[in-house]
Amino acid sequence: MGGHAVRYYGVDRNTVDYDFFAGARSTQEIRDVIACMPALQDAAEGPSWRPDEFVRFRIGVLPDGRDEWLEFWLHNHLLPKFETASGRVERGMYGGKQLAFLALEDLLRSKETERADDWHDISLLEEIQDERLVAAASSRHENIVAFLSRMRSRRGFDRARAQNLFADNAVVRSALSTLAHPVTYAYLLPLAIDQPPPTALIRSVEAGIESSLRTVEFASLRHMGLVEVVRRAYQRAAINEDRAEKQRVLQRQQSKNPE
Amino acid sequence: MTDICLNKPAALLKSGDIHAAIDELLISGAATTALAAEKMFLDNHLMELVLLLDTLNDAELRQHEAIRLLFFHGGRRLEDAL
Repeated sequence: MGGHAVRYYGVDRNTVDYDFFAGARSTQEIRDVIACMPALQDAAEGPSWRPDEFVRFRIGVLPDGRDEWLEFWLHNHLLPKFETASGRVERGMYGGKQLAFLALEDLLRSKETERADDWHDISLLEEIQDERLVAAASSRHENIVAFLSRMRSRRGFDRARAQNLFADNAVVRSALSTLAHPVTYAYLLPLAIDQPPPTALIRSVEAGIESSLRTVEFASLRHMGLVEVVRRAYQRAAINEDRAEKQRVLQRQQSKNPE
Repeated sequence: MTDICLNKPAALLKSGDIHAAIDELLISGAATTALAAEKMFLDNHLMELVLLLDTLNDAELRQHEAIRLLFFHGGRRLEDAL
């Protein structure tokens, strides 16, 4: 997970952390494993504000003076259960070795933090996910539904229009009935204005916006503007949730260690 | 399912007032960079943006600073990404 997973999926950026989602029973188990690894004998454990869920080790110093970290998450509010995530990892070559990476959808979700850099990663990863899905969607009906029900980027939307993937209203309705993300909902709703919100929708769209989406001309400037409003509203709500979660963790920590 | 809740729009945003409002976010220290101030302005005025989208015609929307900002900070168009 983290920056190296983002790089694996095709985003060209640097990172100084190695982030892992670990299936260990406790952070102590990770410490014990690290202690047994000859290559990591000099690793020094760093501070963690979530000591039951997150542990990190400084493994070196980069030429520019920044510390290099090896970081392990056992769980957090943006990750699925380890067993679920490990069942859908993507394996691929990275740095000359075959490694397992969080599935792109899980990685996208894991990035919904309060940090602006993570949302920049999301915007690029959404395009990459759309590119992958649209490449598979060229002919088969179910693949087109799979793409339309997960489409999130403006780039993916433009590509779908260019390939005429919105032409079959039954396909669009099928995608609308199964989609989960509000941005996807905002893209598709003007094509099936009588359709109710899907039950899988992870956040409802504010009634005033939904009502506008049911009257707007598909792919018009107004439609694209409403999609961007939904995107910002989703991001704002996710950031607020992440902050609230961090506050809860800090309060738990403070109640355990009052000093 | 969590709702996306927005504030009620107060009034139609005036294009000429947008940059002064963004400057105020910087001067007050609420935002530390111009980009952060622009995003903060957008996030604080989402329902006002919907009102603009519902009210103005395409030519007026294209000229409006708030709508230009909304698209500048939104999803990239295909040609921008190439």
